[in-house]
Amino acid sequence: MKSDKVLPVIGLALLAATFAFSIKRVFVDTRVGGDSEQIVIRVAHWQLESGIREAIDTLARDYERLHPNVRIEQTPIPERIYPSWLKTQLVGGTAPDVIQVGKGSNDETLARYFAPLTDEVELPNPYNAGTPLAGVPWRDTFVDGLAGGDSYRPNLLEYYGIPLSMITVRMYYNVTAWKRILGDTPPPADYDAFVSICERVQAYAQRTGQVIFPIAGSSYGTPWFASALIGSQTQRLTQQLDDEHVLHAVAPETSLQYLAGRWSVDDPELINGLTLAREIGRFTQPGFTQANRDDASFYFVQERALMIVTGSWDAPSFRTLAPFEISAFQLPMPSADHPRFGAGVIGPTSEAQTPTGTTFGLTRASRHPAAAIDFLHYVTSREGNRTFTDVSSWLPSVVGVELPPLVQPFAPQIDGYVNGISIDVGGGANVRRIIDSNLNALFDANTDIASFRDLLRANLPSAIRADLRQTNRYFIRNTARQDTLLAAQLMLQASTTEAAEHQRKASELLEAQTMQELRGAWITHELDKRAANDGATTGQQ
Amino acid sequence: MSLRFFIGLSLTVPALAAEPTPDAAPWDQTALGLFQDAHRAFAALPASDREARFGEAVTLINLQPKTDGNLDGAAELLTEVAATDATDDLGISARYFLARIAQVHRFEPDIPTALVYYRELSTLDSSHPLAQRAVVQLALIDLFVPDLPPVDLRARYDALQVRGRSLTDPAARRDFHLVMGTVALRFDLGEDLALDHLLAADAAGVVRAGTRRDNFIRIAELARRLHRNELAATYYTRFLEDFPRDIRRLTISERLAAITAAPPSGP
Repeated sequence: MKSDKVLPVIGLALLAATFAFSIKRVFVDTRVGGDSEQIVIRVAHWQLESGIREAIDTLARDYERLHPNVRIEQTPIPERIYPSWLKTQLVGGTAPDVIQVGKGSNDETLARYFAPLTDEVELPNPYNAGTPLAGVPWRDTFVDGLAGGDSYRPNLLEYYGIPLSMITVRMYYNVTAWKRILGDTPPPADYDAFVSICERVQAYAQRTGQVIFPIAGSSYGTPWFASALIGSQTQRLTQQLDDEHVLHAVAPETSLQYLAGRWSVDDPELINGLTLAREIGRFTQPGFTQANRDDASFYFVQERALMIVTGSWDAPSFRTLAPFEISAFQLPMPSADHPRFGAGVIGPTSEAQTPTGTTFGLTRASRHPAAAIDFLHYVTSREGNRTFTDVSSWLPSVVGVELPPLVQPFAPQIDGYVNGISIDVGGGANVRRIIDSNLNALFDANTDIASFRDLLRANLPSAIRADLRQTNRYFIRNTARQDTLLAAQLMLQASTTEAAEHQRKASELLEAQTMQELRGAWITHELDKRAANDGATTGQQ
Repeated sequence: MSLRFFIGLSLTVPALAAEPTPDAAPWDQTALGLFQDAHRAFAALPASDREARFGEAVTLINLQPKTDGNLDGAAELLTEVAATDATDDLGISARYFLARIAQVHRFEPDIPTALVYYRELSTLDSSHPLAQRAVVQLALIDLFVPDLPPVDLRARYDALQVRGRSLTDPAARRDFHLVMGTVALRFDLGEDLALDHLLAADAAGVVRAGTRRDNFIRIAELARRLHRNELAATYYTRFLEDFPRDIRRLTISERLAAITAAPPSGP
C-alpha cells in the first residue's frame, strides 16, 4: 500500500479511536454503568496549592471505601482560566457535579446553573452522628454559620455553597534560620519584641555578610501588615467615632467623618500608625514596593528573608518548596501599655468573624445530586474536615475540628477587640489607588512621614467623594435589582403553598433595601451638604 | 460502520449533555433572577392576563442593558394594570413599582413623581405590604432633604410618627422604625426617641442576621448611655447568646460585666 493511501487511513483510525475514547468517557465513565450502578461524581476547583489536591484525593478515596458504587474524580483548573473554563462547562452542559464557586459565579450563574442548598443546610449532616454535632443543622456546624464567604447569596436568598476551609493572615518564619540567627528566642509577643528580632537579624547579616533581610516585602502582603499596625493605633479613636453605636467602624461613615474633619491624617493616632508602618520598610529588602507576591515568596523560600506576611493558603506551598521548616505567628502589635504606641490601643484584634472559604456548589446538571450532596456532607463532617485539615494544612471550616500542630499558628484569635480605621478610608477603589501609587512615600525611610501625609491630605478628599458616589451607585443598582425579586416573592406568597417561606424572603429583601437606601440617603445628604458648604466657602473667598 | 453512525452519535452526545435549563413557572424564574427567561414567558401569555402584564413589567425594568425604552414600556404596562383596578393587590403593586421606576430605576431620578405615588399609596386603608411600605419610602425621602431647617425636620418627623402608628404589616413596621430610629440619631432628635424606635423594630422582627446583631448592640448601647442598665443588660445578653462568633463579643462582655456590677439603674 502506498503512503498516500496509508496516511488517510491512519488519520481516520486515530480520529475514530479518539472519538471512541470520548464516547466511552461520556457514556461509561460519567454515567451509571450497567449492573454495577457505578456513580461518578466529578469535583472541580482552582486550588492548585500543594496539599489541597492531596486532601481532596484522600477524602475521595475514603468516601469510595464507604460507598464502593461511587467514584470521585477531581479536576483542578488553573485559577487564571477558571472563570472562562467554568462558563464553557456550564453553558456546554458538561460541568462537573461539584464545582468551587467564587470566581466567575455571579448571582445569575448560580441561579441558572447551580442548585440551591437551602433546604439541605437546615438538616443535620448524617456523617456527624455520634459526635457533638449530631442532630445540629448542617449550616450551624460551620464556624461562621455559612454567613460569610460565598455560601449565602443575599439577593437570591438561598444557600449555594458549602465551604471547606477558612483563611487568616500570619507572619511566616523560617524556623531553621531563626534558630541559627536567634537561638531559642520565641516568636515575638508584641511589637517591641518583633522590632528587636528584626534588628538582630540585620546585625547578623552585617556581621556574617550573609544576604538575609528580616522580612520579604511586597506590594501584596506588606500593606496588610501596615494597615493592621495603623488600625491598632486607632482602636480608641474608632470607638469615639462610633456615631451609629455599633462598636465598629462602618466604611461609608468613616469616609463621611473624614470629609467632615472629624478625623485626619494629622491626628496623633494616625501619625503613630504611619510611623509604625514606615518602620516595616526598614526591615524589608530594598525596592520591595515594586515586588509582587511571587517575588516576595522567592525571597522567602530562597532564604534571603527570615519572615514573610501572607495568608494561611500559602503554608502548604511553602512547606513543599522551602528546604527548611516553617512556622508562623500573629502579626505583632503594640500593647495598650506601650510607652509610645499604647495610647490608642485597646487590645489584641479579634479574628472571630473570619469567614469560611474554598466553597463548593452543586450544579443543576449533576446526574447524581443526592450522591454529590452526600459527598459534601462527608467532607464537611467533623471527621472529614479533620482529614482535610490534616492532609492540606489548611484551616478547617467546621466547628470543633482539632488542629494539627502545623495548623495551630493559623487558628483565628477569637478573644480580642475590633481593629481601628486605617488610611484606606472606606476601602474604595479610588482611595486604594492613591495609597497603592504612593507606597514608596509611605515606606521610604529617607523621607519624612510628613510628605506622605501631605500627599494623603491633598488627594484623599476627592478620592473619598468618588468612592462614596460609587458606593451609592452600587446601592441603587442592587436595590433596583431587588425590586424585581421582591415582586416575585410577593406574587409567589399569594399563589403557592409555601406562603410563609416567600413571606420571609420578601421581608428579608425589604429589610435589605431599607438598610441600603437608608445608608444611601445619608451619604447623599452629607455629600450635598458638604458640596453646598464648599460652594459657599468658595463664594466668600 | 458507516459515516452516518458517527454523524448520528455526534448529534446525540450534545443532546444528552444538554443544559437542564430551570423549568420553572415565570414567577419562580423571576425569583431566581432569571429575568430574561421570565420576561419571555410573561410576554407569551395572553394580553388579557393582568398578572402576566405585571410580570412582564417588573422583569422589563431589570433587563440588561437597561434602557429608557424598557423603563417607558414597563411604566406603560404598570399604568394599564393600575387602570383596571388601582386598589386591588395588583393595582397597588403596579403603583408601587411605578414609584420605584421614578425613584431608583431612571438614570435621572424623578423624586416628585415617586412622592405622588407613595403619598397616594400611604393614604390607602390597605394591609398590602407595598401600600404600607410607601410610608417607609416617604420617610426615606422626606427626612433626608438637604438644608432642611431643624424645625421643619422635626415637624415632618412627628407627622411620620403619627402615620407610622397605623402600620400593621410587620416588615413595614420594622423598616419604618429602623429608619425613624436612625434618623433620630443622625439628626440629634434624641437618644431616647431613637431607642424607642429601635426597640419597636426589634419587636416587629428583624430578619437579617447582620441587621439584628447591630440592632441589639445599638439598643444596648443607647440604653446604657440613658442609664437603663437592665434593658442594656438584656440586649447585651441576647447578643452574646445569639452571635457566638463576632469581633465585638469581648467588648460587649466587658460592658455587660460593668453594668451588672453597677448599682441598679433607672427605668
